[in-house]
Amino acid sequence: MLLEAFTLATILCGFFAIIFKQNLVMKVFAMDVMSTGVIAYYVLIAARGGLFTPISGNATNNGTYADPVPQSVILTAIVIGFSIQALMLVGAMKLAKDSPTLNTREIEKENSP
Amino acid sequence: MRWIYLLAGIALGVKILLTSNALPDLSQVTIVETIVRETGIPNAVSGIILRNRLYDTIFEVVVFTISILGVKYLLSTEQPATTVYQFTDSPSIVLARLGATIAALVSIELAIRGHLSPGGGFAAGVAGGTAIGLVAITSSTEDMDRLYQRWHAATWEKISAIAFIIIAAINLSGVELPHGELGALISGGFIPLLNVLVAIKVALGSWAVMLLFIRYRGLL
Repeated sequence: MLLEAFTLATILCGFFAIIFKQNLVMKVFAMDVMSTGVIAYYVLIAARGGLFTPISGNATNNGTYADPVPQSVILTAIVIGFSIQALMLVGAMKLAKDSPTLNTREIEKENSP
Repeated sequence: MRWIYLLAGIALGVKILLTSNALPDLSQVTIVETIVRETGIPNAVSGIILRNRLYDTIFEVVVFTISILGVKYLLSTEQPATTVYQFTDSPSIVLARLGATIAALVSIELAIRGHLSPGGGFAAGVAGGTAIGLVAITSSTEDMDRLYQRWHAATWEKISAIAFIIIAAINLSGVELPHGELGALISGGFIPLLNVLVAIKVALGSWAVMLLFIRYRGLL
């Protein structure tokens, strides 16, 4: 319960930062914070039934394995998060050519008709 | 407006925290044993990723490939950076080379034993990328570029991605190699092969991204 509250706080921190921060680079970092929180939440849910690594022969004295399904689901998100971040940082780099402050308000004002 | 967003977000968090999200009780079904029996490898997470959820993993590899292509495409119109900052003092170079050796060994271990112990293709690829990155921050850019060209790294990356998709498609269409002995190095049908292919793909992909960032941004 306490751990769940902390991971949810991490996710919400990232979420609010995505909404409220004006700087694009800060938004990219905030997305990383949020995805870290989500990964932690999945790991927490996987560890609910048991704590042993889900590798056969690993559990000793009647210990139960962690659920392997959420763990393998979230492994996808880690890889995709890395590639999305590389792409977003390059996008921010290209935008920084015209507006070095990377302020979203200013970028929108410049590019609106 | 900000306050409404803030309140709504906090309310959502409290709601998730308080409502029970209990999973159905599956204690009669032992998930790990079932998956180990189906896949023939001890590592259940690798088994799920490379057999039970293979269809998703194909597209994971495709997304990774496309994002690297996107980085290449977006950076191709930029001006290359004129000065590249690098570590030139010998302690940094020695430490980086030592770290690169260890990371490369860890990468190979994770790739070939990913179906027996914690690890697997993606982790192995990231370890290999780390090794290449540590070498890249201490050696000259021209050397790294020449190395990248000489080993045809871009071609191998594409070959490994296509080979992964083809083998996965064969596996998905129902053909499966014999499982072999549980816990042996060569066991579990296609899974070790797929692990190695993913490791090559991710390591070479992160090498490509790293070279691009160094060329256009100086150093990262």
